[in-house]
Amino acid sequence: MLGAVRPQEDFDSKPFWDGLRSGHLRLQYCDECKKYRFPPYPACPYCGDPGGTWTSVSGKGVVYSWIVVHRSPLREYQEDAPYVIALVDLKEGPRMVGRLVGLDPEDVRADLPVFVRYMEIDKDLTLLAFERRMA
Amino acid sequence: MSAQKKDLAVIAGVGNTQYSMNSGRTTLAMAVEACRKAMEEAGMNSQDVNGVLTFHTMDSTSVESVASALALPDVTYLCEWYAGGTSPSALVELAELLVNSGKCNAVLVYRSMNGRSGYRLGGKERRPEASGVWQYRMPYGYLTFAETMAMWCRRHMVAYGTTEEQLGSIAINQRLNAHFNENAMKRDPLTMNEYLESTMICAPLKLFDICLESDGACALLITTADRAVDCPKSPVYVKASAWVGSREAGSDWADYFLRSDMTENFTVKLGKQLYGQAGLSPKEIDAAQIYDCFTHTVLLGLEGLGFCKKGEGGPFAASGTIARTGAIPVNTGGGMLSEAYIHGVNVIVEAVRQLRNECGPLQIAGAKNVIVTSGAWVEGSGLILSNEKGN
Repeated sequence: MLGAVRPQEDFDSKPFWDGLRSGHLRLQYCDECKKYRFPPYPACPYCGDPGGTWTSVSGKGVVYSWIVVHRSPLREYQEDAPYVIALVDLKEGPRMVGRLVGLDPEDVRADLPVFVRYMEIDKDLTLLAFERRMA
Repeated sequence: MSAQKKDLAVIAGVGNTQYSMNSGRTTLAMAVEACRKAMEEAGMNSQDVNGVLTFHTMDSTSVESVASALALPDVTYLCEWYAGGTSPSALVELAELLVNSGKCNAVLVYRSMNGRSGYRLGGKERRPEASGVWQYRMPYGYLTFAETMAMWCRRHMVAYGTTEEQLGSIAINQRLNAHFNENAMKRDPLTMNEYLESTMICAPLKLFDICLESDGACALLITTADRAVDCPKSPVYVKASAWVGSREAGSDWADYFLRSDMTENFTVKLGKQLYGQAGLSPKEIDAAQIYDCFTHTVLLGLEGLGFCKKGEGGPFAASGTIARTGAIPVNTGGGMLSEAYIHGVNVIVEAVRQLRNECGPLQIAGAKNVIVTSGAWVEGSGLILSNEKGN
């Protein structure tokens, strides 16, 4: 079951999770070196600048790699098996993780164009998923 | 960084307990047994040892408790890293710095864990904590290190056409080595069919791509070359030692959000430093003990350490080159896939015994230089150990 393990939101990550709850994928954008970053950091990992503006991104990306989980150590996730976890490189640069949905595991391939979907688990938690998009 | 060392430290003793699924003992009792054995091999008593080092993600026992149970009268350095498999070689390097600086006379490095009967690495039904960088992956059911390596492995398959059979050849080779190792937990030879039909855990990784979970302890005793002259066992020199990190390290040793290329790991950078320090090339290495939490980690090490070209690790492994009789024997005691998972310290013990010509049917004839790696992803450490002081 998606979200069976709850994310422990913290000072750095709260704006990200707030974004998902409101149906927006928001990342920090460095005003100095003009790069987006993920995961949330209190400073830019590319130039060290402590600033950054939370900015909505396109939600478009391509699959960098993926796995198919058949055996999970946790019962709640085993219920979903087999399920696909994908690493997605966003158009804006950062690499994200999410479930890949609406696609047979056999049909996943590298560089598959995908688009973000928001999976509302409950009022406190929304997670990311990705589905195939027409390129 | 890669200048040759002036003062070589020596691993003067090693020790290990029995490896099992259920030790029935405390991690302290096992650590003490392994440390005592290492001290005995070095001909040292409590008065001679004044440094103790370990690392502890998951199950462990504290450096204080080990120093107390060994009745060390005058400890000058204790250190316990919160880290995992990146640590074993790095702690040997720290021990080397401590003895060569005069801070310590002799230093014990140990790892003790009830990794099967106690705190299991696989985390079966243990509630994981999705804090820090883990909050962005665990909620999706992306929980384990095997799943993390599967992600790297898939990308290697995409880029280079690496196959399941090639990964299988690594598992099979190590099981064959373990067959001749009386300490090993898994000694029945493995066939390719059994490998291919083993339970799919997280595709592309199957059960036999994943290391064991073990109860047990290992210890190493490090001292200066001068002091080692009096030790009963022949000295094994730390000819090269390094820890390497990455600008893309992210938040911990398995974080990859910033990692642009998952088809190579830290061993690319590590190899350059180790060969530079030792004044050796891959061709002069007689055996490799490559950290093998997973088969794919071995493949990344073969490429990163320059035994084959990038992308060719699969065919290279499958060609038999890594067998005991091959050009570069790998994980000669069975490694963590088949001997035991003592978090990368057992493979250093094996390297030392190879260099002391103690490995019986597993002995690599005339072995002089053995390379060791510790770690799997963006950062890690390594050693070149040798039974010859000069080149």
